Amino acid sequence: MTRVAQILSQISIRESIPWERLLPAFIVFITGFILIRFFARIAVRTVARPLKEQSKVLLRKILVYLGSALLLILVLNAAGVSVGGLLGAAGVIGIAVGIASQASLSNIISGLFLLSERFFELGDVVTIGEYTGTVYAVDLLSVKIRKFDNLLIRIPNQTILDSNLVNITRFPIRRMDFVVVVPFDEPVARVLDALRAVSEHSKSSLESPEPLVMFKSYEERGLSFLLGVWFERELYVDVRNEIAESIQRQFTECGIRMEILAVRLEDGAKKGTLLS
Amino acid sequence: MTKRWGEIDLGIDQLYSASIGRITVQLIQEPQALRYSVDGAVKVSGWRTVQGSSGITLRPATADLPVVILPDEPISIFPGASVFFDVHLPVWLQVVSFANTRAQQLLLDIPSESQKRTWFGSPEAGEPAYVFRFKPFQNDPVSDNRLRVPLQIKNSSPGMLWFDRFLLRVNQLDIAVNDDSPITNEVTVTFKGTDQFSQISIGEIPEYNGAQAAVMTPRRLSGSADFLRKSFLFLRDLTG
Repeated sequence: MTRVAQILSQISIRESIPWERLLPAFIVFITGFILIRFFARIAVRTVARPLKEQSKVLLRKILVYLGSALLLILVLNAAGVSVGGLLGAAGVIGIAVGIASQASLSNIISGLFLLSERFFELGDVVTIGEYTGTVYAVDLLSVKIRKFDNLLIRIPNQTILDSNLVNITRFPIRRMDFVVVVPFDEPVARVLDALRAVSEHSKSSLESPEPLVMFKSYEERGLSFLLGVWFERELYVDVRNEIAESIQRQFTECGIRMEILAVRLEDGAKKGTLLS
Repeated sequence: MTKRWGEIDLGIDQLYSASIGRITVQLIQEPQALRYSVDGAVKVSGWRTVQGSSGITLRPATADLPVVILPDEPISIFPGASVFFDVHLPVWLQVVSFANTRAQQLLLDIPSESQKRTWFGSPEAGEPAYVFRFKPFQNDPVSDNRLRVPLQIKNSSPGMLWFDRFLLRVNQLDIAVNDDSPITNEVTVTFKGTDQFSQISIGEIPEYNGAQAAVMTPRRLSGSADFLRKSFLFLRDLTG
């Protein structure tokens, strides 16, 4: 504590500084600050052009903060303020703040790991734990996710590092799987043909990569089939609606019944009678 | 035969109607804007503000994405041999206004029929495209909404070439109209072996009646040669 008191005593300005010297220093600082922001932007857009968006944002912040700190020291020094004591105090205060904020430091370091891993970038749709949404901001301590219901979620970097992370929009195309269950007495070949026709006639799904049409499993309710169609990620909703509608229409045209969650009691005389 | 492609003589409050393939295009020039309506396989309608009714042109266009062409069955091409096809792709149509402006104003750009999409490349990286299946050696009657692409495939490799698909970058093709039938530049693909890139060259539009056909629709992909504009865009991108 004695050492801290000694350092703090050095910060005090022993002799008053006339405003004629402070005013130019202030103007120089403001001008320099604007220039630092401008050059940081230029640097990010030229040298750091290949970097991902969140790395650019972070780099710009670091350049602005470091540049501003350096500028402040230079301006204070020029104005006659004793900077040596200020720097010493900053060091001690930094250590104290560091000890008191281990969690924040952990998040900062986790953030650096996340950035180096480059698993996602701004605008990607990700699932982190129970939350799914668009990456809204990548900051020093946290990542902010904008959910589809327009809620903003702040997730600490340390939490993300410990979680299973899914990047939904990393690749330009995806596969969407539809599972349908039909009664045991429906011919397998007919169901497979109907599902192939659905994918062939679909406008929003892709012809290549080929859709996956296959028998999946025997289930308690009946036979389970899988239709996996590939689509461009922007067309998620279109594909989901179109294929669901198309399966229903195609099955109706082909006379294929879809199994529903109900108790079906059948006898030889009245086959297909549904009692629920 | 009624001419479909070219400048439309459209007076105020006058209706213009044309059927191309499975769509019908209707245009009405109102005093302040052009009313357009497309019905059929593709449905769109709306208003476009156009200064003046002169210079409105209906012209054929290529698709807005590359097209993966697939012969209905693979074709084997012997070393040193060439094959010629006429690929009849679905035509797009554009309504363009040249009135009172130096630059053209694109009013409408739509396909004459809906086209199935596909993906060319791997699931990690690639590009979207339309898919088109054709019968290379059969002279089936061609629909009136087709765009003829003369395609030549040369096998300059020592081995057999199995031609089963080709990504045709239609945005690099100009279109001319001969007897109201749109035709593009000749495309030549030279296969040099599986260990080398194939060479694709875009030639001239074939002559018609001994004369070079005039380009009605320039290619979609055209780089700007304006150095001043490029410099401005670079600076704007840098500092904006």
